[in-house]
Amino acid sequence: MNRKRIVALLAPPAAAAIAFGLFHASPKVALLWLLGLALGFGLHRSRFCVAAAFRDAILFGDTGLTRAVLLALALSSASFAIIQQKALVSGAPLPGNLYPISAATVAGALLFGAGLVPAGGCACSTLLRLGEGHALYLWVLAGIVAGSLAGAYHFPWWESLAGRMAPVHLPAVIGWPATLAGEMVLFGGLAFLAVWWERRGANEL
Amino acid sequence: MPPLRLPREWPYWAGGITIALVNTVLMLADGKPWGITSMLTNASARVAELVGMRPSTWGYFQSPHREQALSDFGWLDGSLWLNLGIVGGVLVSGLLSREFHIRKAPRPWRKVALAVGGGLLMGYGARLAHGCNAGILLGAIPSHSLQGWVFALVTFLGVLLGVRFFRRVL
Amino acid sequence: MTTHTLDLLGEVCPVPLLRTKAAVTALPAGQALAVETDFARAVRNITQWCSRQELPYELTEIRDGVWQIVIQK
Repeated sequence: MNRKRIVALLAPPAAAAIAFGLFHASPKVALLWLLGLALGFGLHRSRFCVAAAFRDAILFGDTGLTRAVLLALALSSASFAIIQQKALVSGAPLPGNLYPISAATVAGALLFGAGLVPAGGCACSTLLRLGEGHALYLWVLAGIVAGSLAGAYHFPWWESLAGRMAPVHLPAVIGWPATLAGEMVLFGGLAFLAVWWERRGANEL
Repeated sequence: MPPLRLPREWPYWAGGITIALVNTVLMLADGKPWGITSMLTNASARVAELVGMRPSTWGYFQSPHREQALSDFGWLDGSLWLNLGIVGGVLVSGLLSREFHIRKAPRPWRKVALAVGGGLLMGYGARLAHGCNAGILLGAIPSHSLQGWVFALVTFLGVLLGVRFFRRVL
Repeated sequence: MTTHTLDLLGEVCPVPLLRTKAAVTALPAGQALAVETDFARAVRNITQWCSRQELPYELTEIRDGVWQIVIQK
């Protein structure tokens, strides 16, 4: 018991020391470490789980996390829009995650969604649970590692299947106003749907 | 020793705001938002090299961007430290709120099998989709990428399937 | 009033709430169910479900990272 309290007192300074050490090698990596600490702290305190945003809405009609994810998406969509627009105006490469759509994307998302149910969480949750001390998630992590290698190995075969579309940056296709308006309408609409679904009472799909 | 207590639990929306804030700073500092599985893939490839495999020859790593990312991957990888930080942040939070407690993996191998199986599906699926819920759901959608929305919709369908299957296994 | 116990230590989401729901549904009126879990997320899942079902409950942390929720039917 007491040992844990001592560790608890030493933990924040240890984290700071690591930041300091990293800073000498690379200030950016030190920043990323600190951002990770903040993110981990906040996600732990708020009992966050992206997997639950999907799964609990389906299983229990519980949509609190679903709406929190929608909030995160709405806010980041707005901030990323500003960042991307600035980059485009200055001729810099477009920042963000833009990937091609293909049969691989669809198959991948299907497998990912199916997998997070028996795994007891998503990739993000695996990190969170490990930080909480759940040794079982080391097994999930092992699975993710092996699966990632297998996926990389098979990747060319999936990509060879028909139906590969280059990355679609929505604003490039329909313009910024339509993109932002459409996204916000979707986020808001899904949030309302979530509240309605929850109010309907104990019904699960 | 005095008890260490902070306001214990935050509402879900506070977590949502945290994600948006951190992702915004990440975009500004690093040009890309939070991602987990791409980093894990590179790390796994390194481990695979140690046991004699040669992932760098695989088709997946032939694209210039990924080839570069794999050869660059080392102890100072940004994404690695971001995700280690997340684990660290959870650990610090749990220690400060006196919740931290190591729960050993349960005895019934069935549970471990479900964990590994689920992880395998997630890892494999994430590679095919270029990322997981962090990189694609929370990263590609705000990047205004159509692929992000496709991922979100199909992941939902996947969870429906997973629930159908899991109900029977439970 | 008897208090039944439901030991969910080591169970991972979504099992805690699934089993709690089943146990509460099977519980005769007037009795209580003491649920023990060590999964922090599940605690919130279960307590929110209790609130939505308007079931009175009492939450205590019995040791570091182990919670007990006593639900009164």
